[in-house]
Amino acid sequence: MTVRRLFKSVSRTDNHITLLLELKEGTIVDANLSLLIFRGFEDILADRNIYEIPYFASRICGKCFSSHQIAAVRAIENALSIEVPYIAILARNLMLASVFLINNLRNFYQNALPDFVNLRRVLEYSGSDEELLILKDRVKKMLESKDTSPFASIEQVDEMVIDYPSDVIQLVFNSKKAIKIQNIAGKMGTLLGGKYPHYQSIIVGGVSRKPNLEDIVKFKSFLDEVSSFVKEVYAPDVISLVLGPLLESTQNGIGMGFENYLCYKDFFNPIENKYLFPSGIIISGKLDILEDNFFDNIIEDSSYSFQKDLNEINLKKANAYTFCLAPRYKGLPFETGPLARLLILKEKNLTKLMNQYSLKPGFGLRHLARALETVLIVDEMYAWLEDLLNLISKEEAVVIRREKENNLKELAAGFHESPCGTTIHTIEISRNFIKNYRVIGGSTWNASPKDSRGLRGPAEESLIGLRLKNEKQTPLMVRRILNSFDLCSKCATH
Amino acid sequence: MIASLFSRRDFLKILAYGAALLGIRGGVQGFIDKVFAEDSKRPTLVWLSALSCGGCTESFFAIEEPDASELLFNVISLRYNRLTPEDYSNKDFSAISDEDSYLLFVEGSFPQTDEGFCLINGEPAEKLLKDLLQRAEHTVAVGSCASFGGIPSLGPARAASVSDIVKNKNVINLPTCPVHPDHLILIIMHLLYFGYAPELDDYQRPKMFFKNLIHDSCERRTHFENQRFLKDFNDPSQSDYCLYLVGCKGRQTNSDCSKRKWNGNLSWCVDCGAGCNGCAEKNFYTRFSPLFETQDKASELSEDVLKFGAGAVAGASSVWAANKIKERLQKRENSREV
Repeated sequence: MTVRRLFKSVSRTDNHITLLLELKEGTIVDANLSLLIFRGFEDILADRNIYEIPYFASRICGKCFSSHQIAAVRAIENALSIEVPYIAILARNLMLASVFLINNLRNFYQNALPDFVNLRRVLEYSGSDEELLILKDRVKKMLESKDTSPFASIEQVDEMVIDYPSDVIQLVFNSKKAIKIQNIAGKMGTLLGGKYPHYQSIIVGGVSRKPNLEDIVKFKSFLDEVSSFVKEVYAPDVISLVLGPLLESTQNGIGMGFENYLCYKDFFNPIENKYLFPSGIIISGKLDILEDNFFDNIIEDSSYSFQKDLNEINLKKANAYTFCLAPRYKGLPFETGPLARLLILKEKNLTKLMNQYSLKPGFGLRHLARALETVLIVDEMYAWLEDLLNLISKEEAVVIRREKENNLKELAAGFHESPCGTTIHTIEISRNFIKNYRVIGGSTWNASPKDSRGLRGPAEESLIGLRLKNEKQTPLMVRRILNSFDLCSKCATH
Repeated sequence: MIASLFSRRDFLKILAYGAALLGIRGGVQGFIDKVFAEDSKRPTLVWLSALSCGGCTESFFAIEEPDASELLFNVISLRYNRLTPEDYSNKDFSAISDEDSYLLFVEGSFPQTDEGFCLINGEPAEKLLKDLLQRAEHTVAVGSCASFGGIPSLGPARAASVSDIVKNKNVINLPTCPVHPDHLILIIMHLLYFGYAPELDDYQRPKMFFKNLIHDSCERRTHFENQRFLKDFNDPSQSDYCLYLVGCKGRQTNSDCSKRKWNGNLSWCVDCGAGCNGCAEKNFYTRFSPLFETQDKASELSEDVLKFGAGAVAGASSVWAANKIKERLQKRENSREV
């Protein structure tokens, strides 16, 4: 007998997502993930002057604003055949990477971690560390007043929960520290971007100002602080969680979904002429090449979406359950994001850990990939910063190019590997105005609904086969798996 | 008592910050007794996020002083925000019981064509707003969307601002896109300590932040007076010139960004060379469009400027005012060339 159950709040951190599950004897057999927010950016961006498009595109998502800004800028630069100067490429890389640092730390410490920690154990801490004792006192008051914001306590304890008092208190302490580190990473963005959130300096053709020595010195001192947190606290925390309490479920590939991954090359270093993340696709576990014009073959299926076609909404549509469209390449759904990027890159640390502990893709590996990716990016940021320093010392350094305005292409696309996945903006221009705008956000891939062939989206698929106990609240495991995708309803529906 | 909650350094920071900016002198101890008293619950701050990008939530994490992590753990209890995971037992908004007092912060605007455009935990956003408003001590509309409708008002939802929906309630508007982190923390401190709203202007913006034009205290003001305008981003000698000709709207925008800068005084829109887009003003995205071009351009100010801009038409309402300025500028330009 199948039972249908609706959960009105799925993620602790995104209020606009609801989930309908179909259960057969306690096992999930079907899932409908609904993203219930829609602003209509494709409509808003149409008919606008091309130079102000990046400003508006940035407002698609406040969390990974730079990814939409850069995808829009790149689309327009492609249309105008502009070759972006090296200084601008490097400064932009540094700004985009700062957002990665914030986003990845937030996903682990603020979104995912509370589901793996038994907060009550903090009270049993018996050590003598002064800072931890202050925190213990604070948590005690939080629990007494039944208000644990900004952390959370879980309603049930299972084998995946960290239960040892001194570990628990250290993790809560790190979660607090992580807020401070994100704040510093935001300042790094401000140095080059003008303000955080929503950078101002990324404009069509390059950046609006040449970074000076002072910016770079300050940037480096902030980066030192963030880098030591990422390498000495964040990465070890994630690795010990995944290889500790989550080892069994990661070896069993819980939350795997389809083994289809996609990544489009990004983070170019013009000095070394190489991309940090190369292009590629993996279909059912097999790595393949991804052509540069692959976006011509992406179909956005609208069978289960309120969006009938581009810019057309029908809220009464039968069968529709979400505002998100279902992007399909070669007719298949693809997972994008940190796991996809590192599997396609064949990142050596991830490969090593996977072989050594026979790990399979799943929610544990997603967290692991996100942490290793952050380490990779931090290291690369030092290299970009050094190259940038060399470039700005030259007097004739150019920061912006706009001269080729006459060779206007009518159709163009811009890409970015954003923290939550592959972002694609496609534009159609006529006479310096936008005729048609199309956005595929990073989360559009992962949070996509079913398509006309009945293929589910990656996040929906990852829940199938999961056994649940009879729980009243949103099941803990469902939340854990969905959090590992870093789903964002704003990016996905725009 | 306080020492157990804060490190000495953070404590001093809060003292200095609160006292200097809110004009509290003898009242500092009172502020601390009220806000940080050991036995009392932390004041609750309910955050409602409707049609928005969520950038104002990011601004919360960008709060500098007191440091956001201390603020969130020790000073206030931020609820229903996507940064602060909820206990599932309290997840529903109805859990805020009748006797609870709280400050309501609203981010984003509210759909008017169909409530289906924005559901929060499966409920229409506007219904939740009306429920929460009834018991809120103060209501703050955070960011341009909540204050004036913002970019979502251009979309199919035709979204409306908080004060459009509740006309009989005093709403404090904190525009700018996203909200300035300093404005956010200062308004929180003001409301918690004084218990009443600060003095507001015609757009319900606190006068303490939005009294003066950005242009009044702009660091590039001298260049404007001396008609030194940036025309080429690549020319190092022009790099700190006035950005008026590349679309800066600081002359029409009321905010204290030019004094306060952003994110711990590090930089701001003019400092990074892009110019102000006027995000503190109502409907800036249509009124000031095209954002990165001067609105004077309608009648050929200079050829250099045209090289950087595409042939766009300025909004009709602003053309008249812009023409006046343009005439003056052109006179100066001509006299300089001669």
